[in-house]
Amino acid sequence: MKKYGKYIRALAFILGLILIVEAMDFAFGQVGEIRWKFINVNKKDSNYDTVILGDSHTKCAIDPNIIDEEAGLNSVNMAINGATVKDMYYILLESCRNNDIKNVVLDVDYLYWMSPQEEGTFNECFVYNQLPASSYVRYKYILDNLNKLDIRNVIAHRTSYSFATSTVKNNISLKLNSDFWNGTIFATNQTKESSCNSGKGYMPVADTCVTNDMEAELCAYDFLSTTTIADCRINYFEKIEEYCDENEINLICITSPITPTSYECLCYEQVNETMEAFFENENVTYYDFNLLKEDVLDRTKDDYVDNEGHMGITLSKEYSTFLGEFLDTVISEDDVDTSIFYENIDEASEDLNNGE
Amino acid sequence: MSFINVSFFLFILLGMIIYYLVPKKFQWFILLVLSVIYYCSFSFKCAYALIYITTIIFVAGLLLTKLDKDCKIACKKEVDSVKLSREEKKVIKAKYTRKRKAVVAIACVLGFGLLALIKYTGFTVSNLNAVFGLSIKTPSFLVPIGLSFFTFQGISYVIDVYQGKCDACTNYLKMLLFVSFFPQIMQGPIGRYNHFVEGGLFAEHKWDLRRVQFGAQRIGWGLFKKLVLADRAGVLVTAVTNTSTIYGGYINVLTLLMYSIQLYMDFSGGIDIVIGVAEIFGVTMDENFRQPYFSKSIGEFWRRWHISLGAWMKDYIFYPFSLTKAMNNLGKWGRKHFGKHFGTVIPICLANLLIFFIVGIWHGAEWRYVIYGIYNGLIIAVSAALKPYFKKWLKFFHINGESKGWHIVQIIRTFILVNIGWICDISALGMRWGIDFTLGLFKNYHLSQLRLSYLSCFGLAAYDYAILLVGCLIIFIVSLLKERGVNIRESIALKPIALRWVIYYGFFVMILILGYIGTTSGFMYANF
Repeated sequence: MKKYGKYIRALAFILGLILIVEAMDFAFGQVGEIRWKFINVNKKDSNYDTVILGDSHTKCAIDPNIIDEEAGLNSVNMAINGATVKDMYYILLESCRNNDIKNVVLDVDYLYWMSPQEEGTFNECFVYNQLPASSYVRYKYILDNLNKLDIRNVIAHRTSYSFATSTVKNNISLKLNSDFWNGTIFATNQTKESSCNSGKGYMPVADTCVTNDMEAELCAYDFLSTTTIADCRINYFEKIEEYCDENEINLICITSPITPTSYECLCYEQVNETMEAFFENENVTYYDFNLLKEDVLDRTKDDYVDNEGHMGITLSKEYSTFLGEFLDTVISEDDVDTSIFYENIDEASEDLNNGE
Repeated sequence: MSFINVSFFLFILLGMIIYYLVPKKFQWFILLVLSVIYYCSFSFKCAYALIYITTIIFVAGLLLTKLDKDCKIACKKEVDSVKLSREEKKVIKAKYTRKRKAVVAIACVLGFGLLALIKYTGFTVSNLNAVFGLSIKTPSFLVPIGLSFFTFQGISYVIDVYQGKCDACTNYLKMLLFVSFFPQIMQGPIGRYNHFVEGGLFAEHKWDLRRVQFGAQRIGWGLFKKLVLADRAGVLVTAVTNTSTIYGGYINVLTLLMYSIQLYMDFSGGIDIVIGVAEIFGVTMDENFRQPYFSKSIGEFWRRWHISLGAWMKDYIFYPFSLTKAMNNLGKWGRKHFGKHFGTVIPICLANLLIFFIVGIWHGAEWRYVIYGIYNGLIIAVSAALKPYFKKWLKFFHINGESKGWHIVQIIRTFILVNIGWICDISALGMRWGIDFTLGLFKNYHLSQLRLSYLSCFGLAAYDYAILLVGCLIIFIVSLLKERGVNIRESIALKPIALRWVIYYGFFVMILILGYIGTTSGFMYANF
């Protein structure tokens, strides 16, 4: 026994380390809608057949309930604020873990496709941090990113830590609540009166919730006029493509329409040309709904809560209705009526912004 | 495979398991495999440099040994049953010495030649173009990682064999392990062959939990320095030095102080990790830092900072150069014209200028590094030349040179001189920027620059400065204890288990919570 004493002490020490990490994760690690979305998509009775991937634009723009009604699907909105193409690959894998997914609708946001991106930054793995410990996707992420992942993000949920006293108090009270363990929507700090309580990941923004984002700040994104798509995005998009091909999943890439008054400032004509050329080269179905005609989806600056392109609830419902019908056509492999699109962004801008 | 990526920790863990499971006689081979995998994980293409240097030094070592043997045989030869006379033996020895010197010279030319070609061709060409108005295309080469380190290490082996300090290695793969040993390939220390042999690089090692624990503690200490202090201090340094704006005043002073923290913590933290990893595998490596900021002179600083580089320069350049015939003659001339002191000191000063010129360009192929080297060399040279006068001035001003107070003055003075030297390091934007930064140290002082609201513009919040302050205090206390000869790890190991665990857990929590999580840079000396 004496011989093994030092080994027992060493094991006890390591156990102590694990307990400390768990305690720190519990107190400091923030959880929210990302965790809830992962729990929700893997619920036993979910049976989703369509997953919608994207970021904050998608999260408030596409209502799966309406999509399901129009297209006869069972869809889930897995859009996450700030999710990159890399994140979307792992979100897709996680969504497919307990669902027989037949369709993927990937919403392409110019900000996350055409901005310079450095892979391997510390906070890059904020989505991976919320994957459940029981999911193989979590370990696949670690294996795929062995040379990029900081050790602190593997042994703990470090990237989600916040040390503000109020946040710590909130974390602890949230995690002691049954809502957290049951994975209900209220575990995301949503109020019971919230309109996003559909279990489908759609989180609309009230039309009146106009944010104070200045046009000048938006126009600082002028890198979009010169930048091409970063290699790591192409790399992960091709992984998504490959996964869909192997699993006979229908991959449909779209871009939800953004605030029309921002087209000029963002050099969106060039963005549209770059994205269309890219998807054509990849031989993937792509529709930029910024080219949707006004009579198909009437939209103005006032339908958005900011210049960047977050839709208000009213427009998002109309858009979801249109999108549902459109997806029904695409999935059924019927011919898409191209007359609903403008020729180019300049034409769209002129028509939509007429009088502005 | 950076030291902070999960791949590195998995690599060490798996490597350690395999290392202690295989039959002990194959352990060195496992280290070799790990080293090759580690190097190729950065760049497979650059592995040619390892093979090249290993082959040169391996062949040179064997040749030197053969020539030595042949010389002994030739001297013992008898002609017509008559032994050779002393004069004849002298002639034979001189002949073989010339041959052995030629082997060393060729090895140096081939080894340093690659280093010069890859690292300094661009610099040379661009300067020729600037001076002579030429337009030669500046070539660019893929720089093998750790090239400077393993080239110097390899050449030291050849010279040591020549001088009889170590036997030649007769196993090519062991030679390759010596050159490529993975913990130290990126940023040193520059090891010596006989130290590695004594340190157990090729030896058989039994599993020893205590040694592994000590290694892990050393790694943890290195991570604390790097993640909590170096990366944090680097935020302000980057903010100030990446812009053409010269803030002046307190900001310039703060930048230098932060850089001195960043550089020391980054480099010594990396070395701690290197030594800790080597310790896990049972290999003892030379220390590379000995509380350098406690130095009382620049000369002492270079005996405490990057010790292995300073020792290399001293053993392979300083002594051979200062003991040459030319230097001897210069010394004699100096004694004749300027007296005994200057006669002795002139060759030493020239040797110092030479080695620090080399130290400068070793750091990088840019004029700022040359200036950095010459700056240090000049201070050491002038100090040596004026040593007798310093003693007289101390006596004149009734200063006790051995008093603690005077030592503190010397330490502060040296720290200031070292920091001035760092200006070259931070002048990545050019010499003009460096000059403006230096001038800024003497003007634009406003107390408002010390307001936290202003300092936060440089990317660090109030708590960051607090963390740096507390962290530096911890480093200072530890350094003071080490300076007094206290072995920290051993002392902690003797404490009650509860206290030990509180310390270890405390550092773990500090690294996890206080470790900087912005864009963490790689280790600075890995660039050399």
